[in-house]
Amino acid sequence: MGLEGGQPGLRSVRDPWRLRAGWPLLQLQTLRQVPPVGLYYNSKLFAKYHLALPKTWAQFASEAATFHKEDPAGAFTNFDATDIGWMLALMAQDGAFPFQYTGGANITIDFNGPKQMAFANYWQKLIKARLVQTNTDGTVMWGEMAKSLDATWLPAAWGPSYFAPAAGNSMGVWRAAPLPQWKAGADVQTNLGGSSYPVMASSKHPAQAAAFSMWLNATMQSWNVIKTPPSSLFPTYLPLLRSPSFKTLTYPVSGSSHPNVVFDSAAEKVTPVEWPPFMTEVITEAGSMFADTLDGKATLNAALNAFQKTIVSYAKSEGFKVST
Amino acid sequence: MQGNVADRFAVAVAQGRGSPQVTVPSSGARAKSFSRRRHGRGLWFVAPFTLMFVLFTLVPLVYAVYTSLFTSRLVGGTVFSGFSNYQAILSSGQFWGGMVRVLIFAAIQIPVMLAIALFFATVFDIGMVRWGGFFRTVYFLPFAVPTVVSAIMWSFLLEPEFGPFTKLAENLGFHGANLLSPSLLLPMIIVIVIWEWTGYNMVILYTALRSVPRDTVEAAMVEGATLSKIILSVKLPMVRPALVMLGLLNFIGALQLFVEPSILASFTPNVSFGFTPTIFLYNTAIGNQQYDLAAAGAVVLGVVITIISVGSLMIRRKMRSVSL
Repeated sequence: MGLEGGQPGLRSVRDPWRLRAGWPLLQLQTLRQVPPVGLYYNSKLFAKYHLALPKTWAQFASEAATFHKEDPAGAFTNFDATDIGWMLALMAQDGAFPFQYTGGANITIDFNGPKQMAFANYWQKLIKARLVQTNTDGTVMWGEMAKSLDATWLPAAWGPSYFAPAAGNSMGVWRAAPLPQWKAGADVQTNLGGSSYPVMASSKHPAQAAAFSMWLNATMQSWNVIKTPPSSLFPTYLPLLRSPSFKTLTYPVSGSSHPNVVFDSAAEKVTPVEWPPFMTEVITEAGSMFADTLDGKATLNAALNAFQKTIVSYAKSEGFKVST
Repeated sequence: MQGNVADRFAVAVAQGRGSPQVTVPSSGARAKSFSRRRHGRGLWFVAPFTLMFVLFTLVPLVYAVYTSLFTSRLVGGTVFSGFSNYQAILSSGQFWGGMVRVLIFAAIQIPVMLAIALFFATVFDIGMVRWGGFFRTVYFLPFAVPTVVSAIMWSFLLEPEFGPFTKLAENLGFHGANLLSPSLLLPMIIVIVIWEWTGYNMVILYTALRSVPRDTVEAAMVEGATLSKIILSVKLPMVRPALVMLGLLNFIGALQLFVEPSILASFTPNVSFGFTPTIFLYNTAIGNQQYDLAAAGAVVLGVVITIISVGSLMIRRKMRSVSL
């Protein structure tokens, strides 16, 4: 999706594939938010163990080793592969996004190519050495973060609003930083999908629905309410994004710091990816197909290999011409 | 004599569940006199039921079978595909893996639950405890809690991070205990379902025990039978039909196990795509958007349940004719 050339507001929907019977055609939709992914770190732990803020993923791995040596019970971050949308965002930053799709019947699916396996190797190494935990995203992971057992977190911009109720003693110590880079000095950013407000063809009052959708997502009047912390929604509405008041917003989990400065700069650098038209299937299957990576029964590489087979055979059964 | 009593229990049980499956074998003379009467007026009496049956059972059933013969694809539209959906279901490891899981579930959950239910029913029946009516109501209460609500409640109790049972396990020395791990998930669902359904089964068995004619029990007492003898050799054989009926109804319920695992799926990644046959159908229809494949799966599941129900009814009928 991306930021649509930086233009918020109306976006007409193409019809690249036949919508399933019963799916109402969209009349229009307004984008609400497209959150970049960043790095949050526990500033207290970083100060205590003299950890350096990692600029590259290589440095991330070496800091992880340092932290684990200092606190054997702790892990540098959490990696939940069942949260496939999140993993795809990290893969996209590594140039390992597995889908190429521009509409129509042809699609490229590559969960186990060289790029993807390199990505898996990197994380699998950290998981195997117990430098990284593999808890489920959500309460379990936040519990570890609250107990200062996870030193960093790689959420989308809206993450803090969900974490805040579980943050416990770690409230206020978190600081945002740009994602580490695969190449030193590069500035490659990624986002975690996004959301939009569609008006369906079946709507009895399409004009009013459209007007409301526009008002809700693309006016200051509405965003002045929606942006209020602890909400940490990251808007696509440029006048708000560029206003100084947005950049200086503070959130309970990150104390007096200004995370939006980091995320705003990341949003400018995101290279959009093209999602396949069957993400519901990808998400449904991923929930159980990556579960074994969480308790160490399967490596990421093995899970990606199996996943490739499943998604390819699904795409074929749906009539796509699949290249791998 | 015994047979008649048994029949009455079967009817009582069937009426308690609102199930029309059990027909009362009535005496030959009465049956004949019924058949001699004119049918015209009778049709009006069955019309409301027939109409509802056709609208809400027959039509959806036929529609499911019809849908299952087509394949709707994202690319290429809907085409008639004969039995290919059935081939896919019959050869699906996920579907049959789920089937095996619910069979294991049934093999443990039903006997344990019926044993507990029968124990309490007997205790109340012989009047060993004070406040019998009060305790019967208390034990029956879990059944009055909607299944979804009790599943959510148990999910929070068993939740791996904050759940009190997890804390209890940790205090007992099981560090890092995860009650929703792949190996403990099914046992926990068994516990939940036993909690939900024991009271209900107990009330049915209690009613059956109360219906054992007093003369029979008194006759046994006059003959000098001990309490345990009366329970085991007089009462138990007389409530056997109720037990068998409950066994069958619970078995059909077990094959359709859905609510508990689908709620738990929000708390653990270990509820796989095809955890139970109905979860498989849900994920296929809603997650993968393959309604036609799910329809074929529903038909196969329906056939399996029908075969088991009809088969066990026939076996019971045969056993009864032998015992008479």
